[in-house]
Amino acid sequence: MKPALTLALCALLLSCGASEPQAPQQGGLPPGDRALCQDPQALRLRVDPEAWSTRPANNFVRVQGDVAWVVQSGSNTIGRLALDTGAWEPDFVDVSADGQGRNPWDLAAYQGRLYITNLLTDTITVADASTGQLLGELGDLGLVAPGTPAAGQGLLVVPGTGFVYPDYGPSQIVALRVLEQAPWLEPVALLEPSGVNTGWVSFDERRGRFYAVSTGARSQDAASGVFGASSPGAVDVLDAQALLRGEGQRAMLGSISLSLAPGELRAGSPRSLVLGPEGRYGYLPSSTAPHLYKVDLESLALLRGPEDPIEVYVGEGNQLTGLAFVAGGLGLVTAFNQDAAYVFDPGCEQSIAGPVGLGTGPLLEGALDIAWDARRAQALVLMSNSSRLARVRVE
Amino acid sequence: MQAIPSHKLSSPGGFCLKLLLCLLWAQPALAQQGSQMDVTVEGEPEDARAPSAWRSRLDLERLQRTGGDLAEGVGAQAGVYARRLGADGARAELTVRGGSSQQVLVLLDGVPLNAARGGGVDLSLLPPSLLQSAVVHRGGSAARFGAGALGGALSLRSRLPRRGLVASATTGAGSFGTWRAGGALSGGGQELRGLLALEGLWTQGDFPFEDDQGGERVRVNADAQRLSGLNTLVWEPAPRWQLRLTSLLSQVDRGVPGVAEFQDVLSQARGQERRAVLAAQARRAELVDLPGALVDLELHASWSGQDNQYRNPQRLLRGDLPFESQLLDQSLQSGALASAYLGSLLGHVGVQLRSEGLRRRELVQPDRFAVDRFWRSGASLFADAEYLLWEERVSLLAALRLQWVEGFGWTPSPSVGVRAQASGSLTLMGNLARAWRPPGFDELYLKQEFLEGDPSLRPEDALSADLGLRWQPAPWLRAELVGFWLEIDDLILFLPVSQTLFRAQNTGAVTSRGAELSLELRPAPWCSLQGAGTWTDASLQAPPQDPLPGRPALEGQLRASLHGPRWEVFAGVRGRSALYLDNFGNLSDPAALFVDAGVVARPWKQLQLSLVGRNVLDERGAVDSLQQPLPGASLYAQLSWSLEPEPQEEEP
Repeated sequence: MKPALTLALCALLLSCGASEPQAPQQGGLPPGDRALCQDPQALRLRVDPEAWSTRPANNFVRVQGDVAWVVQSGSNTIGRLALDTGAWEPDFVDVSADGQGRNPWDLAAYQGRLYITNLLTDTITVADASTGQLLGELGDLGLVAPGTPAAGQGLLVVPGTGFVYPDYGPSQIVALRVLEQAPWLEPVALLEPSGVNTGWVSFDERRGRFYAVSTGARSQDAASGVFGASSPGAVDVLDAQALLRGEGQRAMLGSISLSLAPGELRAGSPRSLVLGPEGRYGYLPSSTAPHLYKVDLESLALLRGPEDPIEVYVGEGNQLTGLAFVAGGLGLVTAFNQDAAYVFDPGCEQSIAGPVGLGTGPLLEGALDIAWDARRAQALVLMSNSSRLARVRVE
Repeated sequence: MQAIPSHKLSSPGGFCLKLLLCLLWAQPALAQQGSQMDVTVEGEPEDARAPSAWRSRLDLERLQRTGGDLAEGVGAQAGVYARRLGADGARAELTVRGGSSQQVLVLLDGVPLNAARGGGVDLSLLPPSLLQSAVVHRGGSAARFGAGALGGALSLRSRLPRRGLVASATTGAGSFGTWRAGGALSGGGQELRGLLALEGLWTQGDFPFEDDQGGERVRVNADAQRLSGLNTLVWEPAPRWQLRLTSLLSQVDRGVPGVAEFQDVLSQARGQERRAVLAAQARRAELVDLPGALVDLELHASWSGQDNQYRNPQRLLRGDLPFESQLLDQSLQSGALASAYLGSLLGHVGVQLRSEGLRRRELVQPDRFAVDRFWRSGASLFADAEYLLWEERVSLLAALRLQWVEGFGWTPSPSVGVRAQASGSLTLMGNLARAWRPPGFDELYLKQEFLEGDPSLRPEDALSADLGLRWQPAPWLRAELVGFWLEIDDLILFLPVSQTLFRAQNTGAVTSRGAELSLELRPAPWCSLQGAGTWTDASLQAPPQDPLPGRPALEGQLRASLHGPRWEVFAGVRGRSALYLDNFGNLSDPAALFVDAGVVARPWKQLQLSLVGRNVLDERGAVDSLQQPLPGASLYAQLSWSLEPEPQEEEP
């Protein structure tokens, strides 16, 4: 027996080579990646990655005045963060109060009300922004899988991605007049966008325009396994007054196409258009590549497209998710795959610092969206996998 | 979730007071009776192959008396947490000492039930009425069972036929439209005997619960219809020879209600699961019978299959194409085990051959299924030995299993143990072992739209240690206190790598440490108290050392029973601390407390009635994983009839 015992002990010792615990990569670049340029003096950023906890499957954060709204699709709720006090009410609006899961996607806060797009029911829920009370729900608008809405000049414009598994069907853009009482919204136009997967609308107050972004279809390349763009993206420019007048398709002032880049499977797939600091240019992060695209909002021309992108960093990480312009006209871009943010300088069209770690540990937390709170000089970053809202103080 | 109002806690408080009174009242009687008491705490019989192992044997009779399921039984043991996805009939799994459910090996008559694709074993398909015994092996001593036993193992033995005619029938009904019926018939003689047992469960499962926002909801599409059967034939053609054939079939057709916030889009999702085990075993006792040497030999062969089908006519994100998939797991296993008794040495040597496969079929277009097939083989050689020292007061154990799995080569799983009788009432036991788990087929090869495996994954590799005391100062008192430590390297998890893709990854190392306390007290013939509690600290090693989800830091239960020859009244309390629901220690379910109570009566010798209330405080806000609510208060009544011959010697 003794040889057996000795053998077992030896085998035990030989087999237990303890491995060193891996150090956390706080926003570090994956091997092989490199930032294009770094200037740590540009901005001083203080990150509090665990500032607030959200409900699961958070989607977007929107700042309006002294309130931040967090859309939490996994719990069918909208959270309300009082920015002055930090008071957090995770279930301020419950769009499933009747028991039906609606999967809220995003919202527009406008004139004291929240207009929430529901992905599963193709509806818009209207809620009181001061009490959270549900005021109504509008359906039968011709929307299929609605995306990110925007509001301005008495209008709410909502895109429909048209996604019907497994393919993207025709997209829609619906314009609705905002009413002071029930039914709260009145359809004034149903438009056909230039591309597919129209998921984002933003409002340009200075020009009285809405920009509807079609991301284009995305698919996995069979040969390489790369998940990338498979049809061009587009930015449709809509005139708010023409929409209000019910001019329909004629309200579309123009369209900017973001064609595919041959040989670059990841290039393309733009997300929401974000107005630059002086409002002349618009920037669109790619949802499949570490790229920003740039359009001239005066001439409606594409300046930096998928074939000539602004590279925020170089590497295998493939997703930028949010962009917000902060103090000094600099942009903060979130990189989903790296739990990190980059500082983007629109003047030189380069990232000048980063990655700035936003996570807390070795597991990917997924920076999904960012919003800028100018009054308190802080950016709020939504970490989708870890259900957290991080705070980045800009000094 | 809302905290339980304090007035609701008055009920368990009163219960504890009564229990204390019961114990105090019993003390003089104990002093008078001393060791003459005929009521004793039996404890767990030693395992001849691992006398130092920390094991807990489930009281299957009690579970059957009260309509409890296997998950309820394992969840009552120290070191074990049973995770449920709903009420009766819903999927249930167990975790041991901070490991995951797929890091627990579950065996039926020695046949591993863990699917080749990975994941835990669904205990809801294994009703206690079909089992002869169920033993939880905690910690490293379970490594001897084979790959996959990182946290521990659950060893189940199918019910055996008895000599003479034995018949029984049970029927019961309860809350949420639940109905259970079963029966068994066993008969035969010295040479040949057989058993046929059946059990069915039908439940609507539509229990009320409280969602995260405090809203009152009703669980929909949680119905289940389960039918399970066991057939066993034992033939003893000659002295010391035994042949045994066993077949177990269990199938369930149930709703898969999914997360509570989206019940409507999952209201038609259905799952059909079938599990079958066919096993043949031949045993020759005393194959070699020489002075000072005795050798027994056991040969076995088995087939195990598991067919899981899922269908949801509604896509989560619309579309006409239903979600439809089928997973067919199969394994073939054969082996031999020789047990040798040579003076003060007891040893075992064995060999096992195993092949396991998976066929995955998924609807990808209206008229086209994608089909994937995977298959791999394996082999094990194992040996263990026990050496007795100092008048058999100290036992040293050593075991080594060398296991080869196609694609991963040979991996040793050595273990050592010690068991020392410190005094007449105190026993010290400790174990140190290495265990491992090769990645499942899903973790290696899964290729779906949002999920993919990684063929380059490394196996999970664990080092496990424990040390504890067992104290039995009197026949009516038994207590155990064990400290454990488990380190798992290369933990495999499906984690997001992008917004649209989860991939299986070797995540890093995790550590689980903790302590287990078990107590069994029978101060009087009519009063007993059983309790188990566990403290577990399971977390990732890399900073910030986030806690692992689904493992409460504290959990335990206490059960008191008053009983006579024809009746029993019992009450118990189960509780756990907050339960983390994500990998970041961010989302959690608050601490929860459940109180159960019941009465069992045997008005006639062959008839038994029971009435059991579970979660009688009606805690409706608890979950066991994200948005998978647990039922509130329920009531279950059962009537059992049995015809048994006079007591006879138990089967080996």
